[in-house]
Amino acid sequence: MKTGIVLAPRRVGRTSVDRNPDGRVPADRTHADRIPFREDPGWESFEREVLPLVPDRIRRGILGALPRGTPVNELRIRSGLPVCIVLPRSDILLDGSRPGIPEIVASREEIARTLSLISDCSYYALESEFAGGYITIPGGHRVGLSGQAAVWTDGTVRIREVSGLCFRIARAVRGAGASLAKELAGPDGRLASTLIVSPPGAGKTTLLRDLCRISGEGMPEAGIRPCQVGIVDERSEIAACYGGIPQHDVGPRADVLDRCPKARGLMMVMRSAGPDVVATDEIGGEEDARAVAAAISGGAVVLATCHGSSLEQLKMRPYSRWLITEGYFDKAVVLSRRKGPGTVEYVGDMPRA
Amino acid sequence: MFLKLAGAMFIVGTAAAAGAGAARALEEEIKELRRLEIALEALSSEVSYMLRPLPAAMIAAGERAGGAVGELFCLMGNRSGISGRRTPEDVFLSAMEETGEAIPRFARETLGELVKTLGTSGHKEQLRYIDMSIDRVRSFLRSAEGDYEKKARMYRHLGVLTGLAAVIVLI
Repeated sequence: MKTGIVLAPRRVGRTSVDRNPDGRVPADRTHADRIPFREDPGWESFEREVLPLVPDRIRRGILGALPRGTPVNELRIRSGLPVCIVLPRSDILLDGSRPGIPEIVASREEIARTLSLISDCSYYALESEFAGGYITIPGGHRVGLSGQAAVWTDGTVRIREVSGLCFRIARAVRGAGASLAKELAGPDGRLASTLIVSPPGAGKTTLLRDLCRISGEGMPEAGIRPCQVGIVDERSEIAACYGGIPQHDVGPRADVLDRCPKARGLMMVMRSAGPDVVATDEIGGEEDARAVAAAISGGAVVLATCHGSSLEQLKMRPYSRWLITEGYFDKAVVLSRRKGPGTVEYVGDMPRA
Repeated sequence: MFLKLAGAMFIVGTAAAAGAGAARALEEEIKELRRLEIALEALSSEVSYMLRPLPAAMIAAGERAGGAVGELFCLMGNRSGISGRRTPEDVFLSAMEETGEAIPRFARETLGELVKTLGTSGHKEQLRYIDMSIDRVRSFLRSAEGDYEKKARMYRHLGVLTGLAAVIVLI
């Protein structure tokens, strides 16, 4: 059992990548082409994949205010308000209040134009994504929408007047699961069915993603053979698919059901892809729990995450208590932010009692 | 005498060729309008059944239509969207300049109105805008095809008659 260790990225091996000499994705790539995976991008992907989509005036303001190489967590553009750049420990409001910080207030037209670009000028093709309140752009970055909502005749809630865009910069930590793989390995060459528990922002999805990659690539030193992996990615956070193509490295043997409800998706992926390992994020509720149990009973290993700060807390919820005490999950990982995101509080066998 | 005859034939021939050229230009215009109809119908299918992203839909529509209109659609598709960092409206004018004068004025006006609505509305509304453009093109095409025969014949005859008139005046 390991505790208090911060998950750190470690190179396990490289997947072959396909880049232009300057590292940029060719402009003539179609949606079906694979975007090269990267390791812990920081500034690089923000500059390459997000900044070109914002209007020139806003982009110049951001580049003027931010030293090159600054890691960026989010970019928030709100109509009529100064642009806000969210960094890991603070944020910068482009309100002209300090020397070196320009005043950049986004206009409604600039928001509309940015929205048009991030939707690939295809709002009609992304209506369901817009109804969900966010879309994924190449690179796996998510753009959340805010504004005036309206309830449609079919009962769905849609944002009619988008007045704010929140770009969340994607970060995949390749190797996040490498140090835990040996402890999570099962007897048959696959990872054991594992439940990852953590509060928000502590790295459970990051870890899950890397465990999918490890399952797909294999890890001989941990006794893990390459497996077919099925990922049910309801909120498009594990693989962050764009045009159906994963933007994060989930391994070479992954089939992803993007934006599919978990309970239904688990059954679908079991029938359609016949995976050795199934992964899903944030199980919550009885329906999800039953689907997970059915998948495990069907012979698949399930890697799943759940909100919580401890296993004891999970046992207080009926659906998760049942999953734990009935022995569906063999292993557990508990994460926290005690020493920063990815702090491992517990990794080992799932306690039954 | 022989020279006069040769000269007269040259003048009449040149004028007749000019008349035929005008008739051919009219025929090309009709062809481009038909290609525009095909391109718009293809675009409607791509949006309606495939929900294909607009840049790819425009390229597919352009490849199906061919001609100057097809080239315009392909240029717009290649340059717009998330990879080109530009909207269809941004690229329309530059793409029009590259395809030259081959696209009839009516087609340019119709497309100029349509690009303002492309990719900015929901599925039903988007199809409605495209269908409105298709109806407009069909209506114009019907009247243009009806007039075509008359006008083409008139241009050809005018060419020959102008040549003959010039010969008579010169002689």
